Amino acid sequence: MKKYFTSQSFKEHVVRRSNYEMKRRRPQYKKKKAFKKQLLRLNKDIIYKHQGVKEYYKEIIEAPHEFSFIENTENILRYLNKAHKKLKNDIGVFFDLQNIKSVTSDSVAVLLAHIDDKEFTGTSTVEGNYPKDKSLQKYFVNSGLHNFVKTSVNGDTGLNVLHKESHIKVKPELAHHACLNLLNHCNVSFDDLEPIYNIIIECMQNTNNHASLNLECKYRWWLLSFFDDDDCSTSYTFLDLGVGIFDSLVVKDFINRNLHKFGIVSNEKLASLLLKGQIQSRIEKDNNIRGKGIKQILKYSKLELFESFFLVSNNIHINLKSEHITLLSENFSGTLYYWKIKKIS
Amino acid sequence: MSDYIINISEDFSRNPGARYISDGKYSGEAFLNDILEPTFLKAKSENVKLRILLDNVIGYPASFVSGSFGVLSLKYGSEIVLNHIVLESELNPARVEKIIYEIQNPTSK
Repeated sequence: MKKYFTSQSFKEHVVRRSNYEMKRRRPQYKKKKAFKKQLLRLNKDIIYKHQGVKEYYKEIIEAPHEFSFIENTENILRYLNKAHKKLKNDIGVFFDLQNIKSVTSDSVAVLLAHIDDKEFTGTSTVEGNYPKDKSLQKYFVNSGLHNFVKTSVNGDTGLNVLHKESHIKVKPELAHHACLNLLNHCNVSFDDLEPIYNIIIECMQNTNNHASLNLECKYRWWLLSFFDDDDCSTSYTFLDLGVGIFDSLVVKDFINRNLHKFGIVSNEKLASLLLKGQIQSRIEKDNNIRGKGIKQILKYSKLELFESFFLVSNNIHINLKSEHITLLSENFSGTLYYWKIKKIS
Repeated sequence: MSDYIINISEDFSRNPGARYISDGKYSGEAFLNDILEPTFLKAKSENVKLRILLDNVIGYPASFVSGSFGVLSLKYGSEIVLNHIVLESELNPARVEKIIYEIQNPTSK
């Protein structure tokens, strides 16, 4: 120890410390330090003012009274596009749902997918309310919405599934779990679950590969399985906010393929080709064995098990059961499948 | 020599997935690489049958069937595959037809 205190390096250290302490005690040093501190605080204020806190203003947008994406597609799309325009201009939006008169579960999934999408909301704030009508509130409360938005109301989700997948993988266990509503509430046997399970897997697989035009897929998908105790039915909504089927498909037929490339073939025509099975996957890998998933969905949609089956993508709305195609005036950037199964008596 | 048996629900999964391993769990590609092709090759070399039990599985998505049975058929030919494979389903015979159709028509064109 003695050796350490008398060593040259220790002596130098002590001298340095002593000089520093002397310096700190000088009034000039104290003045400088106070000035620096003040400057730092000032800078912080400047940064704070610059980064942010803009004046908060929100626009209240009243939802269409028929709040059903499947049955009132154009009005819901117009509503969402109106909100998007405001949000793009840094204006907060309040989704006013209190006066809606009817609702279907698909619109809950569509609204949630949009407000969760940063490309839709930007940096603006999004708020909303529940319908006044208690019988309509269950669609929002019991679907599991509270797991994705801040709300004071926590409903009983039961076997309902509301899932957002960001890693864009096919999730077989989730597809199985989403079928449980049918087993428990709709008297559907385990063997009859095959079409529903297969459809969910094919939807997942298609989103995985087709939702984004570049192969590094960045879009996420949503799945909602909802049991409605009013009419004892279970409805399924599967959607992604990708590029949509009609902006990404490749037509098998040579003439129509080239016409599509030059934008001469309308999406309505493409929809009819899709229903005829004349489209092919645009993924080059194993292209000759692909394209069977969408055909399987189309085939299953005709089964009696399904009360209704719809597909909405880009500016096309298709009732897959009747094969009725409707051209929409508003564009939906994404793909949505919706089907409903009634309780088997 | 006795036949080989694959019980998909026990040996693989009750929830078959999609086409490729990169798509997620229980894919057709995983089933083909890990179970179907090795067992098929053993059965083929020993000239015995490979019995595949399809029951107790929730469903067989088209991309799973295409990614496993379809690819096997493309590799070895549908006749050879159908000579060695026996598909069995007591609960849902339509599954057997669907997979046989896939083996006979593995391409979509």
